[in-house]
Amino acid sequence: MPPKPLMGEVIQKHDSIGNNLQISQLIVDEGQRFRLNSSVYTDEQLFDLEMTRIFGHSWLFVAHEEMVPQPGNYATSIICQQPVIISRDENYQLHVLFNRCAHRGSVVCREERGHANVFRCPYHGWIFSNNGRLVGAAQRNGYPDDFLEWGLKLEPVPRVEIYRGLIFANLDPNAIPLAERLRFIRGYIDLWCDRSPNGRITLPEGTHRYEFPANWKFQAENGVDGYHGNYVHESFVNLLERSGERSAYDTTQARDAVGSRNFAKGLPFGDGLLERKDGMLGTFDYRNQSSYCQQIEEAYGPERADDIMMQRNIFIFPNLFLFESHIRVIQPTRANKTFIDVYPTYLAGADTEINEARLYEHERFFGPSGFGAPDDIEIFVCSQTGAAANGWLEFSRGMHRETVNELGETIGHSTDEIPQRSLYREWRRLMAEDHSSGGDD
Amino acid sequence: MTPTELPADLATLLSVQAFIYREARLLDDGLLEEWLSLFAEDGEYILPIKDGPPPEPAIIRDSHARIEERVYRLSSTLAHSQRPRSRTQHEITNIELLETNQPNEVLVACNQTVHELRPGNPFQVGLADPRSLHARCRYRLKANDGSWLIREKCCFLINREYPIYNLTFIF
Repeated sequence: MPPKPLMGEVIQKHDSIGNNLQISQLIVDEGQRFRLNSSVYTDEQLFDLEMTRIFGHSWLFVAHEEMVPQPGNYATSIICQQPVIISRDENYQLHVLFNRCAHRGSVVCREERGHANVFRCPYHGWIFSNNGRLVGAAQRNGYPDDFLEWGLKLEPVPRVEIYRGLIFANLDPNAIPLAERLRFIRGYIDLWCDRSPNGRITLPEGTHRYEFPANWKFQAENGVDGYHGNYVHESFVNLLERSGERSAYDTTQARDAVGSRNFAKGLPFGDGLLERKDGMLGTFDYRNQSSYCQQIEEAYGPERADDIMMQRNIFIFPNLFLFESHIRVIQPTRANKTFIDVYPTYLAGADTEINEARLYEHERFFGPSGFGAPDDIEIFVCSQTGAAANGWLEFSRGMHRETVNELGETIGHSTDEIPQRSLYREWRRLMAEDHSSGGDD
Repeated sequence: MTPTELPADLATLLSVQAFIYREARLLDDGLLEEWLSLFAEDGEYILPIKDGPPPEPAIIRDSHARIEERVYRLSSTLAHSQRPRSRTQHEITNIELLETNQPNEVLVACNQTVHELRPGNPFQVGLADPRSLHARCRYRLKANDGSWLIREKCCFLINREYPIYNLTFIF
């Protein structure tokens, strides 16, 4: 579907020759070249539009079921910059509620995780059940008898659906069902979960959290960028060589091998994948873990086990990653400020030693003091400064050699910028759609 | 007035204090190899997220081998997040001996504030931007030849569960 140009919606940024650009013109996608205008990283007006047009209509990860396993458990988060409570009621029913008192608007819960049957507003003592219903208020005689029947409540987020423990919510009541949204990427989510012999991911308590003064899309691009490893992570490659785990030559070979199972993929809806048969930097090395590999093979059969053990970084548009060792959520704050939540995972049913060794390797690379991820973030910050020099950036790598497979995936070498093109084509499609007109084009 | 012999605990406190000041100075001077030599062979360097035992995820949970790797990374590899290298200044207060009942070992508490800045073009994001990080620290020290070796350095950052930008220098 061609993007709909927006009448009169001119972003007040200029390209290098001084022309005003419309949103749909911020990307030039022609032949073997794909270019992006650097204002997409710096323009606050574009950022606000991203919130309403992309985040306001996308299925967004809000929590994992493991964070709220029992009745009464809750977690708080944000969705599209709006505060929400993820709560499990006495009937095990899950709710995603806006964290906003129906009376005068205060948040009713300030903890990040906890257990509560009710939420009490700190302002005037209104009390809401953990399913959102208003159950009481201080000095009730100031209201008529039918007060509790007015339907006042913590408003639910319009749509909530769960896939394999991942709780997604959507602010758009007319959004397509989650299953339809995930239909191309779902098989990869299954493979990610099935790294557990029981098919179940659990989360040890403790989150690696970053903030950085740069645009959120640098992280979205980078998590499925197979081109930067030798350069941004030269330091980590040196560490692997020093410890004898893997020579720099072998690391380069794993990255550059052409042929089977060393791919970058672009999927519909802006999703993307990086796949490496011989391992990804910062990922636990399973090559000598024969008992775990055997366990996976017994659980799923040799063919599927082989697919499960492929190393993958999975990007689910617009802000969720599933990495081998963790779930990563990007929370955009402003055009030049981003938060990242990294939830390390355990594989239920795998030996404790495997899970602890995975975590220990994760801590080596990730986290604000890790030996890998902070170097990525340094590059995002360098790019934020650079992007202020407004002009065109190249996302053309491998465009001349990509193909489309029978599943509808665009596929190419793992160092090609296929996932990034997929991301930005979806970005442009959504940014050029004006939902406020009510038309579905 | 003639100097008198100090009570044993006070002598220990002064010696521990001198040791921790020296550790801070080595870090602030960028003498990382020398800093490394302050650790016992089984020494650990930890920045927890939660206050529980492993295997809860931590910001840093370095065994001695990983401390060595950290020093090697900072001194001998192209670690972009430390190019330019952080300039740091440690301030240490509230030094207190918590346990002195083990022979040859003490448990010490102190508070630390690290002022940090990465020098460079002030018009570039992330450079020439001073900030301060704060932690309550705990050292388990082992007596060694008239001084001490670190068996554990554990720093509970005040913002340990919350988003943190570039913490790649040594706290």
